[in-house]
Amino acid sequence: MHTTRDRILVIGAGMAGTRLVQDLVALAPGACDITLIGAEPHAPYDRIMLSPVLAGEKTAEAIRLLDDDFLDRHGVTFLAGDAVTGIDRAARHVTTATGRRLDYDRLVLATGSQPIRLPLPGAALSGVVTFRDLGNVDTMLALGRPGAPAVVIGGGLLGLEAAAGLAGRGMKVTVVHLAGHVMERQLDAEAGGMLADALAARGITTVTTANSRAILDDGTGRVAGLELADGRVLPAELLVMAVGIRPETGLARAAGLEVGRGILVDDRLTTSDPAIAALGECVEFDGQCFGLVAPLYDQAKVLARALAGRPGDGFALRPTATRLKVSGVDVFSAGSLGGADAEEITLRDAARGSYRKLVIRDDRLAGVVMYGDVADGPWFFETMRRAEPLGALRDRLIFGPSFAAGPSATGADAATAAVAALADDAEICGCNGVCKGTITAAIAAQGLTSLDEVRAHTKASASCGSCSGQVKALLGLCLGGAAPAEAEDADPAICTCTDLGHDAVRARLGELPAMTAIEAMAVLGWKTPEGCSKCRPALNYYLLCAHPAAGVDDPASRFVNERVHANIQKDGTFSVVPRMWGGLTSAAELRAIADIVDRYDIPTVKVTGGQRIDLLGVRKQDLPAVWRDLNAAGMVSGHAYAKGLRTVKTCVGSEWCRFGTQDSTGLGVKLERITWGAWMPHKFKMAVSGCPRNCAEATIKDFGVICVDSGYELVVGGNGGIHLRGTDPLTKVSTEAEVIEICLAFIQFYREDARYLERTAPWIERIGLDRVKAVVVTDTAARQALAARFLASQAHAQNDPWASIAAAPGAEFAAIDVPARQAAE
Amino acid sequence: MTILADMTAARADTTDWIDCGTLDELPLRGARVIRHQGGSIALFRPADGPPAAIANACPHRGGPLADGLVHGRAVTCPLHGRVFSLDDGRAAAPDRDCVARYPVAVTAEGRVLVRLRPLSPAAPAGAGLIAEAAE
Repeated sequence: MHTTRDRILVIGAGMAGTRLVQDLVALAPGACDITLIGAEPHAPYDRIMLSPVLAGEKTAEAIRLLDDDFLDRHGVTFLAGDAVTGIDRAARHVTTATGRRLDYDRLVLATGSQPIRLPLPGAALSGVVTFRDLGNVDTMLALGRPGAPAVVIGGGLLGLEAAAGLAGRGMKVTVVHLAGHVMERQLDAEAGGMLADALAARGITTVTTANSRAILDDGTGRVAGLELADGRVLPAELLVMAVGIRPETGLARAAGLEVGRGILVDDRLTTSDPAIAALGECVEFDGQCFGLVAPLYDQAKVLARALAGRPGDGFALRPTATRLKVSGVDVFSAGSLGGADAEEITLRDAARGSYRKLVIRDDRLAGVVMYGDVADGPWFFETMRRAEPLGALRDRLIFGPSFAAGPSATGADAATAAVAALADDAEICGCNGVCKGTITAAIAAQGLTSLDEVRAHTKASASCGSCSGQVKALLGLCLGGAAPAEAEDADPAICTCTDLGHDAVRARLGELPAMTAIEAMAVLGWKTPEGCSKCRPALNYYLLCAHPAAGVDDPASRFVNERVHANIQKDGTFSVVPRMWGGLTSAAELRAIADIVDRYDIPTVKVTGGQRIDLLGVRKQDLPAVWRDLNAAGMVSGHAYAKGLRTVKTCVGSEWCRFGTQDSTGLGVKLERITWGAWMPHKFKMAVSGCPRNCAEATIKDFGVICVDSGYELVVGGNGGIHLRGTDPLTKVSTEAEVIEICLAFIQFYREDARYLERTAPWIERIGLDRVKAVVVTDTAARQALAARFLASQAHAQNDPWASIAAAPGAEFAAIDVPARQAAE
Repeated sequence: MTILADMTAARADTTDWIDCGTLDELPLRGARVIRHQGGSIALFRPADGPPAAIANACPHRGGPLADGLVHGRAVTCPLHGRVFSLDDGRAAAPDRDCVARYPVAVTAEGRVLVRLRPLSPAAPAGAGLIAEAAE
């Protein structure tokens, strides 16, 4: 059967060729018989993401552009790892290195470019590579060694991305650049300098105004370093040349097409042969060659229309924007930076590490350079592309788009209206830095319908959860209805490892004999053999609570804070808080703490909100020794890391205060002495205030005592956390003994009833204050039984975890140090 | 379960193989940190299967993965909860990050060796293990 469909052959499966195929099948599905052929032995991938792959932040698979499913669905033939060696224009077929003969009606050249190799002496040594494809990445990984020196020649986009990738793999990188500052084509000297500083902070040294003279040999044919024209020698075990690209025109030239610097094309991307088109980095249009992705995507769009026989505008040069793809270093540049008739407006905020410069010509925005806070970049770029006279806007332009909040939409609640008025780049999730546009795009692209799905895909609201309301409002806006109602599921599944909810699990575990969390998973039919970081700590806690005497606790089922009895901080160091009963300390304790701070070089000492002293920045390997020394001075762990009793905050009460009505300090000490060491569903804080002035802030604690003349007011369920919540009044009693019994009963009821990671505030809101009152106040027998169970459990719980580990620290605390340079022969 | 190292391959470039002690010296369902000039590597001992080594820094915010909770052959970052496979270094969906993997070998004497050079991102899962040697 003869097919009437055009046979279209695309040579080059890079970003231009791949984009063309995608555009073409989208525009005219099934209209053409498409074959895509690439010389690289990989599926098409996003070349601009090579740096994260080199750094180990992304997999090669994560940057794939086309999957098999796409190819099957659209009937596109993809041939990888085969190079086209010749074009027979008369017979309209090409031949390949592996001996294929492929006929075509229309041929597209997307052969891209070749990286330029400087003709320096030593350029052929082993260890000298370019940075262009996944093959280069593999070579660099095979040759690179953490801690070893590397040199990158070229401080442009590509060079800096290569440098960031190698630094991400632990190499010590020096970037050598000919010009006076890095990225001189996109940045002015000011922004270039800030960029160099930011790179220096990541361990990347930049050497500018530097001419390379020779690549040095280590005597075995491998690169040893780079010699500069001024005689300096930079050691290097790996040398990357990233000085530019040259259009790949060999095939076109051999076929007799017209070629200048690149393959000459008209505004329909047609070459001198009407049956052959070309696009991407291999072409020259209107005297220009291309290296950025944006114009190349424009070309793909134009050519796809031409191939599909659709009318439309031809390709035209447009301003382009550049972003540096190095995570954590934000640089944005667009348009032209200088010129005789250009005016400049700059804004520099050194404190925020932010800089922006606008270039204005003829009352129009002609260029923008941004460093640091680049969120407004796309808006400036749009303003530039519109090329409208700025007029009065000029005065405020440098401050970015102003968000005039529109009138609240009728029918929408306040939260929804507020979210609707936000710009796309407004930050929603402060913990994870997720902005509105990212969330709405993910909801649309992935078809997300629930808060959990948005959390999984965008991380918004996945940490502290304080933005959940905004995220839900966004979901509502995107899905065209009100925000989805919170599922009124009585006992939702703990996590995806099981269908069982917290309440069901803990009921079963109470009936079963003592066992470890991992054994319990087998018994309860878990879907994963060892659970996950959500369910395993929960099971571990439920077992511990149900079987306090059985010793089922498994450190490997605990979060690191509880495993190493210290708080992990953002830089991986830990903080240590010794217990100070009721907030009291002494000269001897303070002296011991000061000595320990000196001895272990602890950078920060802070008084916590709970009146304890926090030693911050302790190295993990020092933890056992710090604990040992604190223990030696009579202090025990303050459990500041624990899902358990943290602190009992106190005021000075009747002992010192002229308003104090009872001995609040003494009562606080008593409460802390009885309750310390108890593991709980979440952290638990107490306070005792000596009078209604409430200096100990008892009304935002899980359990608070406010002393009054006639006795003690007990309050519960307060929370100073994400959702500020004042306490609910529980009851009023007249003796300390009653305070203590009710306190213990309340804690035990919370321990036995709340779900893991549920603080008292949401727990009480879920089960109701009346139920709490009924159990721990009204029902005397129940109260006494709870208090008795708590005390029984405490007999096994009140061990100082520091003492036991400090006596015999496990291997976890000892790092393996690699000598500076492994003994080389 | 013992994996025999291909010591001929190891010997070819002994400079990069770090002796990390015996398997028993690694905490079960835990990790030790190998510190080197360019950063650190987390060497894990999952309950199931051979030990595994990955870069000790989550690509998200640099969280020390060695301090994460180990479940099966995966670890959860202690800072913000990303989950990485110990075998292929990839983050669990929908995250698409990954961490560098390092080859691990266990010698016939039970010593755990880790090679300082990361594996290529294109290397197949399990490529970190040196298969049984033909003596």
